[in-house]
Amino acid sequence: MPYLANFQESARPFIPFHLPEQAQWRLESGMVRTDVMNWLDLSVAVLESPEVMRFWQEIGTSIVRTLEFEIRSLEQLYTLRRHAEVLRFLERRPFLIPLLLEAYSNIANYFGPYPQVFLEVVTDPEAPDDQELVAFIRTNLPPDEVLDRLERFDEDWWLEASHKAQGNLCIHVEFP
Amino acid sequence: MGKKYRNPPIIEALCEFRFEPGPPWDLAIPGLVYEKVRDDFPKRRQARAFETSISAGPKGVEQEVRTLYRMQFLREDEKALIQVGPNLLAVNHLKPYPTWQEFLPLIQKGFDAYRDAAAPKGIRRIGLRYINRIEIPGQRIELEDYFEFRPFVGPRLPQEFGPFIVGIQVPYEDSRDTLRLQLANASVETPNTVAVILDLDYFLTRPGKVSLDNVFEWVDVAHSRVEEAFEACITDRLRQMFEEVKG
Repeated sequence: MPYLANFQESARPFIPFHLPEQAQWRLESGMVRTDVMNWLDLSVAVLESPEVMRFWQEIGTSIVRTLEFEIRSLEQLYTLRRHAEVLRFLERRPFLIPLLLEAYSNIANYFGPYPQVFLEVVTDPEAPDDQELVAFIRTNLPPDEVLDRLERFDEDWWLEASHKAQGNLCIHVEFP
Repeated sequence: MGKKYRNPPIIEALCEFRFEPGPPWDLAIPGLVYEKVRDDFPKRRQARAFETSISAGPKGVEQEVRTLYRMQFLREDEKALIQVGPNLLAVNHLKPYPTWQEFLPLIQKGFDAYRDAAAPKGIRRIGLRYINRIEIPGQRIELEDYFEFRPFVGPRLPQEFGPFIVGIQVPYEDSRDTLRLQLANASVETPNTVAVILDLDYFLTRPGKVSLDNVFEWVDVAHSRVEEAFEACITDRLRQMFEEVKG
């Protein structure tokens, strides 16, 4: 019974805690609420036995499982460019993860629901050790409108929150 | 005494205690614990944690992920830490895992500090958990070459498969304790390898069946059970890869 690593690379690692796109972050209560009926991978198992799901979802107080869960949650919201590079960056700076989760809902507030946002590690060509993570918000809005929204986003949330990134995260917009 | 390996696959070991509440939880308790452990765990930070639940509500089946906060006290190298929350204590050791003889005193230190500071009434749950990440060279491996615990794929099914997960719960001590055993594929970090997570969690199933004074007898037995189960899960081929240290 061969296990094929290539097949794994072409698909997500099987971690039964994927939040569907419809998941709603409720920051005020620190809660994600989602209709698991939309959770296609495992909806049958969920309907038959919630206990089964609880069994597999155990994160407990494990540091590595918590980090893994947070990264999987991030992957539901963001598209990671050069996936492994972004993961390595985040593993060294786990304090960015809650900020990114918070950032997504704020981006949605200013750029519309379910915004497409890319995460990419950008390296200074003159200083290879100088890296930062950039969140690129992709939008089709007219440039003037985008600048206006970005300004409000900065003033209302990002300027205050950015100190938590300790200089490791930038948020930009990009056009298709 | 279990086997020792030069390249052990443990990426995290943790011992978690959930207590029967004593006096009402006081926000000063983490600070009191810190005072008792700060020599060994000088760094402090607040961390997020998650608890999940699934419930049937008026809108159908819903899953909730609650964010909780707990204090973490870390050793200078951040490879060992103590976590404290309401009625909760966890002692974690990340890779490189030392030995049980070195990990156990950290657990004892955390437990004694929490017990003094919070005066819990009893034990609701104890868990001793070892999470192993095993990397095997190759793009295509036969799991049976490496694991005695693995998914079984019947002969009428396609024999090649990708992502997998398999788990069981085994009762011990007349169902007072449970060993949860899980094997799953993991993200690949090293090119041309496959990675597998073997997660062993031995925990007290019946609240109150272990007294505060007998905790470390239970923990010692739990460690033996986990060690036995780990050895029973792997083949000699993996043992060779881990490079057993004799004597």
